[in-house]
Amino acid sequence: MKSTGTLIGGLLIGCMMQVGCVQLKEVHAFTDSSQKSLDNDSQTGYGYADYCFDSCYIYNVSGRQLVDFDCNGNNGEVYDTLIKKEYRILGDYFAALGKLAGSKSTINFAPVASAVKAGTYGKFVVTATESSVVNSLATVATDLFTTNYKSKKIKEVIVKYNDTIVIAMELLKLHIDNLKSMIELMKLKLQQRCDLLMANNATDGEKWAIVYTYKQKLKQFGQIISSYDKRYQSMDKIKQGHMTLNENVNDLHSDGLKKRILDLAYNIIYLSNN
Amino acid sequence: MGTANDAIFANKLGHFYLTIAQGLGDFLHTHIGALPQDKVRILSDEQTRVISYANTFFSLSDKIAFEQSDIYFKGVSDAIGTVNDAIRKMEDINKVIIISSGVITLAAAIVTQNGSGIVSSLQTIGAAVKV
Repeated sequence: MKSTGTLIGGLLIGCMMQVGCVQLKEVHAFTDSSQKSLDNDSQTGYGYADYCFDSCYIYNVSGRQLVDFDCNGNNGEVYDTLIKKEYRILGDYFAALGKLAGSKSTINFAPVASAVKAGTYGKFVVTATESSVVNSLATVATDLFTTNYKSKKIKEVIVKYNDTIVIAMELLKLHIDNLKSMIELMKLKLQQRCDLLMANNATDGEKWAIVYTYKQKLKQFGQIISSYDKRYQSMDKIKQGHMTLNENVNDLHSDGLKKRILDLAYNIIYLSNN
Repeated sequence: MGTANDAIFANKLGHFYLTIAQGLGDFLHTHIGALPQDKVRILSDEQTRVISYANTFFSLSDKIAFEQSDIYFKGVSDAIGTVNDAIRKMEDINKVIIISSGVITLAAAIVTQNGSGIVSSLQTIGAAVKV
């Protein structure tokens, strides 16, 4: 009789745990879309190394030989690596949060091996604040993945790291906006150079080559800027989502929260896929 | 050491100079066929300098900060809207050149962390915008 009671009790607890997991599926949908979006952003796109390559010939008005337009993009590559690492760490954090929300699909986790160091890389800067917030998120992500915490830990983590996440996301948004704006500036320089070349007694053939080059490069920059706009919006949605979870941390099962968090998850997926 | 707010301010300044560079570019693009060669050269040189400073601000991050910089930066923030409006509405090439020279001097003062230079540049720009 005692063992039957224990069995029923165990089944009830099992069912409650199961229900608890099911009820956090919206949170998981949000953490999953955030992680995928951040991972996607860490792997693709036009970075600082590409910017160095383009800017070194667009801004060079005195070069005579091809060799004068060669450039060294090493600092840009190093900076790209650091920014990618920041995306990865943030993605790991959301994967870890997803694990607490009941996800079983976020096991593909490899902790970022080294810290993001503050410093100046050529003309680009990783600030001390940035280094500090990102490294603390790396630590908590590793801790959450390697320790067998119960799902109730999610509330504590959301509250404790909300400010850190908000700062980290704002700083990444700043990086996105800075690079996007520097591409906008290259567009302006390109237009200026083409305007001056066109006005400088160019032949019809030269004018056609100028117009063609201008339009092609403008189109390319336009696509890159558009992708950065979406990335920026996606970051903002992820930040909003975490803030919403924090504001409703004691009511994670409410229908209102579920709807808001699912809307954000759909938006993040849409922005990431388009 | 600078703060996250300083990095945000550097970005804001970058946008200010980006907007001015766009204004100068639009002016050049529209009027290049009608402007004398010397004015085209001056205007395009100034646009290049404005672009260069905008690039500097977008990559400067919190390194923009210096002692008491928040006091000087408030004056710059207050002037941003006025200058942007003035650049957008301008039709006179000479006035465009005067204001763009002023913002270039201001950018140099900010980058070299010259507080008194920032104040005097703002006064010069303020006077040029009113004319």
